[in-house]
Formats: sequence, structure tokens, C-alpha cells
Amino acid sequence: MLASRAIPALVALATVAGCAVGSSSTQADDARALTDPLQQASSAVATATIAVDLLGDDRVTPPVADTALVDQVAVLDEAAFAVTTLVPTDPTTAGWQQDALAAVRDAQGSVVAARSWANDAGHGQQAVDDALDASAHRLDQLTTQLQDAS
Amino acid sequence: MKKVLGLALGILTAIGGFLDIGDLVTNAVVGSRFGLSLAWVVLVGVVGICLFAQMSGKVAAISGRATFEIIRERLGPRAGGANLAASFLINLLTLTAEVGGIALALQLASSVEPRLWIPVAGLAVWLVIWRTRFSIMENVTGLVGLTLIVFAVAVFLLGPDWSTLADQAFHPKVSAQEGQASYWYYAIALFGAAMTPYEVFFFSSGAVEEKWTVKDLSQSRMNVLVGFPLGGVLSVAIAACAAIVFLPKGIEVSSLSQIVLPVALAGGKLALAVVIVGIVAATFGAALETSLSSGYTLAQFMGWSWGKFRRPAHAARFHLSMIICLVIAVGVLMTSVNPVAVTEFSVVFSAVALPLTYMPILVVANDPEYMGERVNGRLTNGFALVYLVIIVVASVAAIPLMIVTGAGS
Amino acid sequence: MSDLPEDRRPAGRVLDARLHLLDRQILDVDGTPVCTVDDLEVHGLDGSDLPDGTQQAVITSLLSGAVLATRIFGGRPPSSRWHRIRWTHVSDVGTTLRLGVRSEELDVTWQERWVRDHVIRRIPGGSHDPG
Repeated sequence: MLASRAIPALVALATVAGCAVGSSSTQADDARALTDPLQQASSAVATATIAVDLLGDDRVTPPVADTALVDQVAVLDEAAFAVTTLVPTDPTTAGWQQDALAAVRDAQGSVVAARSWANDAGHGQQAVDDALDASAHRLDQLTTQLQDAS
Repeated sequence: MKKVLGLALGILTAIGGFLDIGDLVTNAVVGSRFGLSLAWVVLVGVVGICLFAQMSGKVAAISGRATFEIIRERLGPRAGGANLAASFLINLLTLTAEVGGIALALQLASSVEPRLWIPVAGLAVWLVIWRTRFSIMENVTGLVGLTLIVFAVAVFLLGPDWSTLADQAFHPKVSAQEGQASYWYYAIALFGAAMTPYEVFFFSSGAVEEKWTVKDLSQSRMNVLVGFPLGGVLSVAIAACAAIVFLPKGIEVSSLSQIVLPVALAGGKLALAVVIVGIVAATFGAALETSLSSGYTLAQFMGWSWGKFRRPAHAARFHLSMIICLVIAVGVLMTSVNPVAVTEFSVVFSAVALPLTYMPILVVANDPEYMGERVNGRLTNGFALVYLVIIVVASVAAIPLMIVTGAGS
Repeated sequence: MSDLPEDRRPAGRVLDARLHLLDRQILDVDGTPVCTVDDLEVHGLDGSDLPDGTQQAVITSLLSGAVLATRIFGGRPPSSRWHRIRWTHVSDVGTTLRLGVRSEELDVTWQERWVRDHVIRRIPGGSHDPG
């Protein structure tokens, strides 16, 4: 008798718990869901900038700079995954998702170029720095836009 | 003169041996997200571990028995068995994190990817356990780990705004961006990183390994009361480096390579080399301690012959269990799981397991059958009870906070 | 002198079997850990196998074995599963039980000997003291 009451109660509890970590359903929620990966991407670009500057000043060894950059490539992968797997609720948020994806891909390009330079296989430091700055700026703009909307 | 040298060695080894991959990662993450507003947790954690390490060392020196030998006797096989299962699994998780940390640090030195270093690290840890004498093992890793002082040096070289840092540390506020849940989640993680359970098993078994008597207690008290707090200062220095360099730029720390960048910024390639050596030593030493702790907890509970002071042939099951633990740790890491993620989980689960570890020590330290006249005084018991409450609260809150914050993300 | 009452206390120490013997570590004559006490075998003085509390009984042996599951969850394994250490081998009872024989000579340490001979001794350096 206790079991026949306990089991429906447990099922109800499990369902509610599942809903507690539920999915976004409004524009503001989507904006919030997109700002997290964008901030992750900004963090990755900023770290890459520090690593490039340190390597340029000869304050860091190439293995450390390379490791730092490859770790940030992995972070950008995570951010891109979070952006691509979002299900937008309306055309506006779908547009935001496309913008966010473009910004993260741009950041990936800059960090990969930085890594090539760090391994003596790419363009000069100035070009790398400029690309990273541009990516950072783009990510910041989009983040501010989304934060205003959420 | 010899006594002064011995004392100095003990203290230096305690400082150098205090930090492990859990402290490195958690303090850096906390520094980059919260600044120094969680520094008070390090203080609370250091006082706690001083208290309990001192108690377990005293129990070992006076009764001649290590912690887990006594846990089964006092608590019976059911409670003792639960204690063993939890402690052993957390230990194994921490061991996995430490071996991963060695591989990450070696990647920084060489650019060779961690997966190739992992079996090497596992083998090296085992070889040292197999052949090296206990005291040599402790002293070498402790002294080399002392190079992590470079984090404190880096804080000065970075020329920070001291008033900002002081304000963060002494007037802790939860920023709107992070939220209360994240703040307290990381408080618990930092607490678990400072009060690692394996430290206590290792300390008490080490006391038996080195055959401490009552005469050695004052030396051990000095090591703990001077060494551990200074180790805590280094923890805060790691957080400060991250707070100075990463917090203003909104950078989230998620890899070991980020953690060393402030040191490179402060002191160039020389400081970088020193910090990498220090991290290798600290994680290697911690890997040794956690694998020995897994051996100690299992062998002491089951009643097997144990100890590094015995030749392996006289402590066969003890050594076999450590070999198996290292193989499991290496196996888990070879699945390309992120060692930093493993570390973050291990510190939170350490916090969950703390009551199981610390309560038996408190029970035994008050038992006249083992301690004779030297049972805990009222002051010690008072402090210990306060800490027991803190530990239980942290342990109970850890998992719900982990779920609510999505493991801190 | 004959006014003094007779001392009826038995010679020796009084032990509580559950408190002082059960789950205690057993050390051999060299101080090497052997096993833990999982149970006690008690026989009646009048020779009976299962004393019911009405007759005087003595401990005949300490029992140890692969019985952790039954200790935790309940039940008893059959008599053949136990390893016996005869009570006559016990030389001291304190926080641990001390035996007068070496662990080599006891049945209960067969697992330790097996691991030693088939695993540890096969790895180089296993039989040497640590460096």
C-alpha cells in the first residue's frame, strides 16, 4: 500500500526535477543561452591575446604558448557547440544564433591563425594581434546587444 | 644544529607538499571569477586541516595505529565499510586527477600531448612507490614543490592595486553576474580542495611509517602549524595571480596552461620554468600520497600487512592494490577525459566525503583506550565540534549546489 | 587473618568479547598484521559444541574469513568457510591481539602468500627492502 502511493509520488518528483533543468522558451531565455557561449569565446580570445603577446615579448616558451592556444581552441569548440545546438524560438533569435555562430567561427579562425604563428607557420604577430582584436570586438558587440535584449 | 635543520626540513616539506592539482585549479578558477572574495574559505580550510592532521598524527604517535585500522574497530564493519567505500572511491578520483595533472604539467614543458605522458606518469609514480624510501620520497617532492613560492613572487611583480585586492578579501561580496549559488558552490569546492581527505590518511599512516613516538609530536606540531598555513598563503597567491590578470578581462580559467600565464607575465621564462617544475613536483608528490592512501585505507581496513617500511614481498596485497589503483587511474585518463574536469569533480566530492573521514578521527582522539591520558583537551574538542558542523553543512550542500549551478558553469 | 573474606574474583583480566575482541587486528609474533577477528568459536567446558549460556564455556579459536558481506548485510557462512586461529596461539590482548606464531604458519594468510608468490615476487625488486 505504501508502495502504491510512493511510486506515483516518485514519478511526479522525477518529472518536476526534470522540468527544473528544462529548456529555454522565450526570447530573453534564448538571449541568455547565447551570451554564455559568447562570453566563453571572449575569454578564449582574451587568453589567446595574452599568450601571443607573451610569446612576442619572449616571456613565454613556445610549448607553453602552443598549449595555451590549443586549450583555447577546445574552449571555442565547446562554445560553438552550445550555439549550434540551441533551438531558437522565433526568427529574431534565429538571427541572433546565426550572428553568434559567425562571431564564434571568426574567433576560431583568429586563434587558429595565432597558433600557426606560434609554431612559426603563419603570418606576423601584428596580423595575428589585429585578427584577435577584431574577433574580440565583434564578440563584445554581440554580447552587449544580447544582454540588452534579455 | 641538526635539530634545527630537521625542523626546517619538516616545515619546508609541509609547505611544498600542501598544494596539489585540486588547489591549483580551484584557486585559479575562483580567482578568475570571484577575485579574492573567497580567500576566507582558504583560511577556514587551513585551520581545519591543521586541527585534524594534528589530531590524527597524535593518534598515530601515541597508539601506534593508523586511522583506518582504528575506524573498523570503533565503528564496526558496517559503518567502517561505508567509510572505506566512500573514502577509497574519492581517493581513486583524486589519484586520477593528480596523475592527469602530472601529464598536463609535462605537456607544458614539452608540447607533447598529455595522453602520451599519462602512462609514463603512472609508471613513474609506481616506480617511486615500489623502490624509494618513504622519507626520501616525502622530502624530495616537498622541497621541490616549494618552488611554487613563485606564485607569491609573481603577485608582487605584477604590481597589483593592493587596495582592490584587500577590498575583495576583507569585504567579500557576491557579484551580480555570478550569483549566490555559484559563490557558495565554489566556497565548498575550495574547502574540499584545502581539506583533502587523503591528507589525513596519509599523515597518520606516515606517522606509523616513520615510527613516530610521543617525542616526535612537537616536531609534527611545528610542521603542521607553520607549514600548512604558509601553504595556504600560496593557495591565496594563486588566486591573487588569477584575480589580477584574468578577472578584469573576464577570462574564465579552464586549463593548466592558463594558470601559468600570470607567472610568465610577471617573471618571464625563468619564472615560467620554475613554476612548471613546481607543478610537476606538487602533482607528483600528491599522486604518490593519494596512491599510498588508497593502499593504506584498504589494507588497514581489511587487516592486511601494509607499509612502505616493509619490503613489497611482506606487504603483498597492499602493493597489489596500489598497482591496480594506478592502472585504473591511467585507464580512466586514457579515455581522453579532461583532467581539469576530473579535478573539479574530485574537490567537490572530497567535500562530500569529509564528515566520513573526520568524525572517526575525532572519536578515536577522545578514546582513552587508545590515547591513554592524552585524549583531546576541551579546547581542541570545542574547535573540532565547530568544524564538524561546518564539514557536515558543506557536505550536505555540495551535491544540491552542484546540480543547481550545473557544476559551477 | 581468617577474618578476611575470600577473594572470589577469577585470576586474569575480564574482557568483553564484542568490545575487545571482535574486529580487532591480529598481529603475529613479529608484529606483522595477519587479519582481523571476524568471529569467535566458543565451546562448552563440558565438551558441547553449541553452549547455550547455561554451562561454562571457553574460546577455542578466533575466526577470520571472507565474511565482510555477511557481517554487513547479515547471515552466517558455513563453518567450513572460516579460517581458524587457535586461542592457544594468542599471547597478548591489548588494542590488538598478539600471536606467538609467525603469520607464515597460519592458513588464514594464504591470500597474502599467493599474491606474494605469483605477483609481487615476479616484479623486479619485490623481495628487496625499499632503497
